[in-house]
Amino acid sequence: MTAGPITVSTATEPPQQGRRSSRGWWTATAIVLLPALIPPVSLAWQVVTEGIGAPIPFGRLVELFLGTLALTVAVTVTALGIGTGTAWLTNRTNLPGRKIWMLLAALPLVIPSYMAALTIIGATGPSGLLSIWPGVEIPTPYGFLGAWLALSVFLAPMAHLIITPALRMIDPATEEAATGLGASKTRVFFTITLLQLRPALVSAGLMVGLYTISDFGAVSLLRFDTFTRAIFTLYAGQIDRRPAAVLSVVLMVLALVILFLERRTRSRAGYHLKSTSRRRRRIELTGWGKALALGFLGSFAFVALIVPISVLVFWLIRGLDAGQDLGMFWDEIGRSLSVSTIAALLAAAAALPIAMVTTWKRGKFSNTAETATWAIYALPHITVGVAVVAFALQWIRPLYQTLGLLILTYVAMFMAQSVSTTQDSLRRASSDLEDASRGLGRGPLATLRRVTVPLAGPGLLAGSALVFLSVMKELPATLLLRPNGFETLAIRIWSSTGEGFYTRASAASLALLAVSIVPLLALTYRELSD
Amino acid sequence: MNSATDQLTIRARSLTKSYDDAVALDQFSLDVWEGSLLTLLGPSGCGKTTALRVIAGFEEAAGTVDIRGRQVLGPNVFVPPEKRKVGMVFQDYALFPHMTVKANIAYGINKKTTGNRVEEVLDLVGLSRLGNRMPNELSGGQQQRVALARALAPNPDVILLDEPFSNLDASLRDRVRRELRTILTETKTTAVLVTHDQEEALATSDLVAVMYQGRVVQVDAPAKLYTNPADPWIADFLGDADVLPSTGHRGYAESEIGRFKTDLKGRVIIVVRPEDVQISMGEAPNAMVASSEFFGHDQLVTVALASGRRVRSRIGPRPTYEPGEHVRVRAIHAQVFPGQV
Repeated sequence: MTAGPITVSTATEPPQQGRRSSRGWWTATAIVLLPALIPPVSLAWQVVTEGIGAPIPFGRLVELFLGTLALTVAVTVTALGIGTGTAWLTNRTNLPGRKIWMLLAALPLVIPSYMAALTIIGATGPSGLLSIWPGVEIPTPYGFLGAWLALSVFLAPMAHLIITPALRMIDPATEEAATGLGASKTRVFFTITLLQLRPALVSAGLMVGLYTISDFGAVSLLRFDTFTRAIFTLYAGQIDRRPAAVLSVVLMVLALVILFLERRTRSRAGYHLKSTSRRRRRIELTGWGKALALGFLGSFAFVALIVPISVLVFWLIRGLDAGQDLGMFWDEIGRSLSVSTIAALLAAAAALPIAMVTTWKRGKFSNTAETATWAIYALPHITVGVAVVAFALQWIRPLYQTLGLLILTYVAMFMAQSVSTTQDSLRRASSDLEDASRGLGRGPLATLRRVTVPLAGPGLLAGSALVFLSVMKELPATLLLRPNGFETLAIRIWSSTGEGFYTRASAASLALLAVSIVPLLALTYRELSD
Repeated sequence: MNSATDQLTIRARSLTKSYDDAVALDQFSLDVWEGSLLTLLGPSGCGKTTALRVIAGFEEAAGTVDIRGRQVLGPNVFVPPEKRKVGMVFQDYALFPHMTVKANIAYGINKKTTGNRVEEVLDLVGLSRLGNRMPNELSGGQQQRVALARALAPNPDVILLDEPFSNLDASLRDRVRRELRTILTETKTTAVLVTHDQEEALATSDLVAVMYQGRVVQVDAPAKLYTNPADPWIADFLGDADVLPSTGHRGYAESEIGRFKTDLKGRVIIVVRPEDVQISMGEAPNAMVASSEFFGHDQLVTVALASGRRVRSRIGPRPTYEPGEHVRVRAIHAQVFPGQV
């Protein structure tokens, strides 16, 4: 026995793992996650075992890689610049109408990239909106320029949304201390604010980059060759689909590397930023500064919101005037609405177990489950399409080109959105609540109905709204997996634009925006009431 | 207490459970008698919360648990928590945030009997007027009482309390503790409380079970435990204690501060509590004052013995001693254990 000055062991309690009550949730998580992982893994395996088929010329690969890289760098830099500007101006200055500018800066995110491409194409060229002024005729910027413009403007809101919370978390005392030491406003911004924002900026940059390399809609319509466009061409045009598979695997790996880097910066960012409730003074903008700031926000809103809407309305009116047949698209609306709704509900059901095992029921494999969910979410959708098609053709042929498989693919691709909002809800409550209910004599089902689902409810709803919006906009996976003749609004916009039917494309675009409004308003309301 | 007529509410035998790298329970055995309040006391990480959760049915373990003579855990036996009639008060209270106080309390009772029972329990914990509040509108102390009321409402066979006072301000803690004791006594409820706070354990309980590395090392009434700890580690864990090396010889162990009865032979350890050490000025000084801390109602004087060993003495506010003074030190009570310092 020990004696003398006796030290008492202060080891912390071991993590609550192996809880009996968490087994069901872990089983459900495995049932949801494992099938979702199979197609991408099997595609990679197929590439390894079956070879690469007709080799893609090395020069072509280099060209694709450089094209993708150039676009990614250009879009990331531009979107970060705009996003940092809008976030800083709307959060840290006394600009009039800040709340409205804040909303306007985030709003363009609802415009999918193929719709952005449509508005650029519809605004320029000999018959575009801008040509109504005599003598003005801007050639349509096909290629790099158009893709860069479309993606930058519509990804800047993403940067804005990632940077805003980080800006709010910077301790105002650090900036006050710098001012107290005699630093000018500019110097404070560059040496204090921006440096503390670095993790958020890196994170935002990587997210924008991830979206850029994954984008299919804008690059295909604006005819700029990147990996995604090449994959689609290889896939659609050839009997041997192995080259498309090879490119898909390369792009998947690229996306996962970016995701890995992003998750790492995010986990480190926590050390730099601490939450604070102290009020901060807003920076007073006067005279020229104010005019410049308003000009900047105004032109962004003009380019990202007013121009697109005007172009869409312009083509709709022009087509109706000319007596053009819009084509009945009630069917498309109905299809889009129903697949989006079903996928949103299923995604909520799939998300609940994952959210549970990563919050209340944490265990050895929690991080693995979370990583897997995000990895599936980060895969470029065109590659998911290629993988699911390949897997279906080989193993589950009867499901190939069925609605069921399409919806399941949507659920797998987007459930991460639902998981993340549900985690937020669950984290607000004690992880002992399920045990408390069981201890009070209620069985597992009654506990689920009366405690777990009501508490996860707001997150499940918000998640469903997000998934609904994503499925509504989804193009490449739908293109590859839909049953024959199954046209959604997104498909219709994309194909009509490609074929030059801008009136039809505009009508469908306006319809898509209109049906997106309800879930969008619900989400905004939730943000505001928080 | 432990007479044959008394009923055993909880009988746990040889509970054993380990996590990946750590042992949580190691042959843990415990008896809890009807109507008594037993405290599981141990340093953090000793497995006391795990023991509570195994008894409640939230976790499994090897071994057996009987509640009121019915086996709820054993080989091929696992009664789920909702069928155990065990009330649990969680460390963070785990009140359902989406339900009112009343709905929280009514959660564990049958609908038919809900009406009266809820009021009754609310009254018992003194919260009759707060029934329609939401949990987040209550203070920490009030939330704690709701958690207790909710656990009491279905008339469980036993109530388990996991560190129930740890989330309260120090100023509130004593009062809430006395209230809890009163309520449990009034309702004749059997309870097991888990804590790492020695004073809390000694002041609240009928019996204290000291846990160390997954097993119970001693069960006794608070006073007995404090004055007759089973080994030097328990002595030190329960309060201040100093140790002196000695040798057992002809029924005694000699030391610089007195000789103490023992049947042990060979090397021994003498454990002495500061309250048992007396200081006096005057003849035959055997120690020198090293330092003293003055608390008002008492003072703690540390003296250095001729051997260089230090012992502490807790005495009243008068007289005071200055460092460097030569004094005579004597222990009126000490415990002797086999072993070596």
